[in-house]
Amino acid sequence: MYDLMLAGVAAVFQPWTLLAIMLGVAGGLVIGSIPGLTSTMSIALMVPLTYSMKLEFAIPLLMGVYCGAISGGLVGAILLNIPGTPASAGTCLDGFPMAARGQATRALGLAVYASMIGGTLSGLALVLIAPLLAKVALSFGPWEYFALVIFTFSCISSMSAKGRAVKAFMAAFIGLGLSLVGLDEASGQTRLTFGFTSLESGFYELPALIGLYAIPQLLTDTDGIGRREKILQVNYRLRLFVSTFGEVIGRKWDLLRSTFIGIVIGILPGVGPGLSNIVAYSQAKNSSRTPEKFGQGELAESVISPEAANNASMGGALIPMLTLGIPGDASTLMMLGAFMLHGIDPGPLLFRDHGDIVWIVFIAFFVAFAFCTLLYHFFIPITIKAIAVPRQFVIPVLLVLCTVGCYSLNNRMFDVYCFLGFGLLGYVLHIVKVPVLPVILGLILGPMAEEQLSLALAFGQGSFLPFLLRPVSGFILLVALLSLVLPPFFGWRKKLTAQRIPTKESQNDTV
Amino acid sequence: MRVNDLLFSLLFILLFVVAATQITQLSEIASATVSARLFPEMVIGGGILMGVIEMIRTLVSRPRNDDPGFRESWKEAFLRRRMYLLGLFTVYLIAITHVGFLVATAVFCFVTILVLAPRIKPASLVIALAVTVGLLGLIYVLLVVYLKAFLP
Repeated sequence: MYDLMLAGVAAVFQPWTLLAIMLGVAGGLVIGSIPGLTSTMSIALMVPLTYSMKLEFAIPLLMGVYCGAISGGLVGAILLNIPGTPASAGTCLDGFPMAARGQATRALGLAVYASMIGGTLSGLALVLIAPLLAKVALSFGPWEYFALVIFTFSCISSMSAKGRAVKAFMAAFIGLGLSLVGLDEASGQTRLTFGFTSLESGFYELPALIGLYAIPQLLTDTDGIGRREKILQVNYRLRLFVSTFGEVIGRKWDLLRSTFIGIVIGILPGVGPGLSNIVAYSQAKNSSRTPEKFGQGELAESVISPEAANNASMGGALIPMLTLGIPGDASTLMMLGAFMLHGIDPGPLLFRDHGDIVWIVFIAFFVAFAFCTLLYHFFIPITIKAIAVPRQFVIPVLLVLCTVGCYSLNNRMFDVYCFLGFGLLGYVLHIVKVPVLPVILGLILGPMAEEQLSLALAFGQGSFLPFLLRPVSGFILLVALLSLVLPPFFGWRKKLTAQRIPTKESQNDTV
Repeated sequence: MRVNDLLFSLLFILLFVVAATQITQLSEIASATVSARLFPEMVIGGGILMGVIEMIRTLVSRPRNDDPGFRESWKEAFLRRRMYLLGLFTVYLIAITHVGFLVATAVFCFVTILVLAPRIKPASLVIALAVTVGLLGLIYVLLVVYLKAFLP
C-alpha cells in the first residue's frame, strides 16, 4: 500500500501536475462563484478537454476543478444571497445577513476555513473507508451489484421532494430506456435504433451528461440578464480573514457534527452537497442554545456548519464512485464519466488493478483543498468581480466550449447533435419539474444493471431467488424496499396524527 | 402543474409503448440462457407501470397551491431570451457543417451577446468583439496548439 501511496505522491507532486491542480482550483473557484454555474457544469466543461491528456494529469486537474467549484459557491451565497452552487444554499441563510451587518470578511473567512476542514476530514474518511469497502465489494457477485443499482434508484426516489418520488423513478426509466439504444453485445441485435445507423453505437455518456445539465442551466440563466443584483461592498482585509481560523476551530463540535453529516449524506447514492448543507444547518440550529439567533448573521456556527458539510460530502460522494462505480452526486457522475473516458472503470477492481490511480485521486483531493484554501486568501477580490460579470458574455462562451468538448470526444458531429438533443430533453424535464440526475444514472447504470442481471440469471440458471436468498443482496434489496416504503408511511402517519388532534380538540369543546 | 403532469405521463407512456413495439421484434437466440428481451422488457414494462401510477396519482391527488399552473409554466418555458438563445444555438450547430467552425463560432458568439444584452451600447459592441476574439484565440491555442484536438 505504501508503494502505491508513494507512487501517487510522486505522480501528483510534479510541477506541471501541481500547476494543473492549481489552475483547476482557480477556474473552479471563479466558475463556482458565478450563480447558476454549478460544479457539475465546471467539470462538464473540463472533462472533454482532458481527453488527450494523460490520466495522471487529467484526474488531478479535474479534482482541482471539483474542489474549487464546490467551494466557490460560498462567495455568491454570502455576497449576493444567491448560492453559486446548490451546495451553498444553506450558507445564504446566515452568510448573507452576516455580510449585510458589515462582517463580509468574517463570513467569508468562516466559510472558507470550515470548507477546508470539512473537506480535509472527508478526504481522510475517503482514504480510510474506500479501500475497506473495495475489499468487501470484491466479494460481491452480480446479484449484489444488481441490488446496488436498485438501491441507488430507491435512494434517489426517497430523497426527492414531496410528491416527486414517482417522477424520479420515471426519470430513471427514461435513462434506462435510453441506455438500451444501440447494439446489444450479447445477442448481436440492434435495439431502438429506428433504422438510424448513427444510433447503433448507442449514446455516448458525456454529450448526454453535458447536454442534460448545461443547456437547461444556461437557458434559465438568461432570465437573470439585465437584472440588477445588489452585491454587498466588501472591505477585504487579509488579517481579519486569517483571524477567523481560530473562531472556526473554537466551534469544533459543530464542525465535526456537520462533517459527519456531510460524509454520510455524500456516501448515499444520488444525493450530495446540495442536501447535506441544509441538513447540517438545521442540525446546528436544533442543537444550539440560541436557535433564535440563527438567520440573523450573528453566530459563527451558522456559517461553519453548512460549509463544512457541503465540502465533507465531496469525499463521501467519491467513496461509492471509486469503490462500486456508483456516483454519489451529479459532480461525481461527471468524474465517473471522466474515468470512463480514459478507459478506467471505477469499482473494486480499480483498487486491485490500478491502485496507483486511486492514490492519485486521494493525494490530488488533499492537494486541491490545500490550493483551494491558499488561493482563497488572494482570490476573494477576483471572485467578487466574477460574480458581477454580466451573463450575456458568459453564456455563449460556455455553449461554444461545451460544443467543442462534445465534438473532440469522437470527432463527429453526431455527439454535438446528441448534446443538443439531450439538452432539449433536460429542458422539458426542467419545465415539468422532473429531476435530471436519475436520467443520467439510468443511462450510466443501465448497461451495468443489464450485464449483472444476465450474469446472475445465467449463474442461477434463470432463478431470481438468489437475489433474495444471498445475505448481502437480500439485505441491500430490503434496505431499498424500506427506503421506498417508510417515507410515505411516516408521512401518512403524521397526516393521520395531525387529523386526530383537531378532532379531539373539537370533542373537548363540545363537552 | 396538474395538466403538465398529466401531459408528461401521457407522453411518457406513449414513448414507452412505441419502444415496446420495437423490443418485441428482437429475436431470441437458442443457445442463450437469458432471454435477449428480458432486460428491455423489464425496463419498458417498469416504465409503463410508473407512467400509469403517476397518472393515477395526479388524477387522485389534490392540486397543491404552490404549484405553478399550466399557463405559467409554459410561459416560463418560452421566455423570449431563452428561445432566442436556443434558436441561435441550433442555427449555429447547423451552420458549423456549412460555413466552418471558426466563422460560425465568431458569428454566434458576437450575435448572441448582442441579442441577449438588455441594451446595445457602443461599449457592448466592443466587449462582444473582444469576447469573440478572445474565445477563438483560447480555443485555437488550447485545443489546436496545446491539446492537438480537432475542431468541428
